[in-house]
Amino acid sequence: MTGLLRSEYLKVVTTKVWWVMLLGLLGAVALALLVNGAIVTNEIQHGHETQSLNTLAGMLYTSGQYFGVLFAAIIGTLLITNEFRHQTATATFLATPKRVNVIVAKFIVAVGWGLLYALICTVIAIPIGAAILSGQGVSSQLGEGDVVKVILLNLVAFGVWAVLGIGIGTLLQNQVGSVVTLIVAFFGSQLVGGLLSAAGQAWNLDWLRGTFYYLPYGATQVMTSAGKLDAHAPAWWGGMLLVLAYGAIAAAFGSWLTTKRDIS
Amino acid sequence: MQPAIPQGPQWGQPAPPPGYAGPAAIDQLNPYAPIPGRIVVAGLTKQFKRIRAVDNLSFTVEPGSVTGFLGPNGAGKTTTLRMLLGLISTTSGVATIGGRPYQDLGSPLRTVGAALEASSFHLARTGRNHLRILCAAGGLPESRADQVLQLVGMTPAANRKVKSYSMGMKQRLGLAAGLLGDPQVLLLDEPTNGLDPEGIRWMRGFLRGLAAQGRTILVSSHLLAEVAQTVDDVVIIAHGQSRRQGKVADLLAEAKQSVRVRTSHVDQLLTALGSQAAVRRTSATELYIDNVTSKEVGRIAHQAGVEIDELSTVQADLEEVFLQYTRTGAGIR
Repeated sequence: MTGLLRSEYLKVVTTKVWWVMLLGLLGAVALALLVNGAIVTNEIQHGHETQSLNTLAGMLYTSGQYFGVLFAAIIGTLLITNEFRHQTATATFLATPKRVNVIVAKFIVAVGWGLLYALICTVIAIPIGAAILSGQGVSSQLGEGDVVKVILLNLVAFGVWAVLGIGIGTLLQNQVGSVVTLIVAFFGSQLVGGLLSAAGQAWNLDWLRGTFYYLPYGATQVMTSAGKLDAHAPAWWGGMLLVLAYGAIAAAFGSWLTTKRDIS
Repeated sequence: MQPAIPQGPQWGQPAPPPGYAGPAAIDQLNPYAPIPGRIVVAGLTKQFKRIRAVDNLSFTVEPGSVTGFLGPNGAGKTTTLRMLLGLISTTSGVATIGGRPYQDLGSPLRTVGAALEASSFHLARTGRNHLRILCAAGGLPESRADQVLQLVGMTPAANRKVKSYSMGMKQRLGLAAGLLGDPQVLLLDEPTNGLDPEGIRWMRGFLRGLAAQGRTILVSSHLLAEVAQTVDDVVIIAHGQSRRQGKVADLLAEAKQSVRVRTSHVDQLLTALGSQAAVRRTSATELYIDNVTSKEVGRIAHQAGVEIDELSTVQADLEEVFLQYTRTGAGIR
């Protein structure tokens, strides 16, 4: 397995996609820190009545997550769809005819990459976030269990989205199709979820109101927020279970398909 | 774990009892007989949605022999090779290498090397990195990448991206990938496809070198003449079915030999040859005579006192022999 992991690791670092994504990620973190910094500063100056300090701190420390999880998912998807796009699947499965092992190695490497991206985001967001808070005369909140939990779960979020990315890649095989599907799923689930929740609000249907938080991106937000986001949202661990379930389903189905497929 | 051995007349004898390994007693047709380097294809069939790409195909390649796997485009050669390599599932039948299906080989790259189509590379990756990735996956030292690149003469281009490679260079890289584990068995799918004459000459020489090292080689081609000088045996298929198997020498013997004679006394020679001879008169001064030796024609001419300007043996086109086995409609289905 170490050989396979090295093989998959080499596949990532021998093309330039991973650092192009990293550049995009750094841009996303910078943008998110600007926006979140403004929101948090405004909230604190107005007595942070609507959201607790922990929630605000958590928001700062997970800056970059919004696009970051998408980047992690795309890295995961590329790891598998590259094999089909460039027909390297032939050589890959000749070297390792037990295809499940290849998929498992890809999952591990993709999750690792997701975690690396998350770490880079976090390492940048914590000192700058803490500086923004102290600029408003507020402590960093890093001693708070809820905030630490959010920071750690943010790492999990990147990992799970990488798994989701691989799952969709194994399912669709087509590279462009997979990336487009991911982007549509990412923004689409927010849009559809948001609309359904709004409809629930308008017609006073309680079961509809929480829809947003049960779709992949909403569940990720639930998982990585300190405190409850919304009365209709599940608890943080419910969000985590949901996100893990989405990842697991995509992974299991995709792996099964890959072991069955003819490689030609 | 050894899979259950299919029973029935086409499989020959049932499996040897567990623990029994005396090769002498093992039936020749048992696809699971643990004979290193031997390729067995037994009753292999692949049904795609509508097309039966490979149809009850059986053949063996003995260790150390070089076999040409021939057939027109679309005959099922690539599908067969991919089934042998576990890349495509079989509808029925078995394909083994050294007595095991590819998926059950302990370290496949050390046992079997394959060079399939030459387009299977990530264009933005260097040739050397492509090979390093395979080394890591196959449990081989990454230094093997540089060794095989040297072997195929690709060292100068090792650190260039594949997108800058010519067709010939891609073929060489594919071959290098197949040689990474220094395997005893090599499966090559149309290795000269898309090569220029110089590339073809290089590839032929290289394959001859590999064969001389005693490796088992199964090389596919849609041209008999292409491999005739390199291979010992041939398996000719068309429409997924076996059409002819045997020594290439026997096949060559089937190619009709004629004697070409040029003389200004054609009529005299015709009389001397008699009525039995299969003679074609191609011009006022030229004859083709089938199924005789040039020595015989010379003797007859000498006895008849016919002056001859030119006497030569003409080998009929090899492709004609090949076509005779495969010509049953186009390969496109």
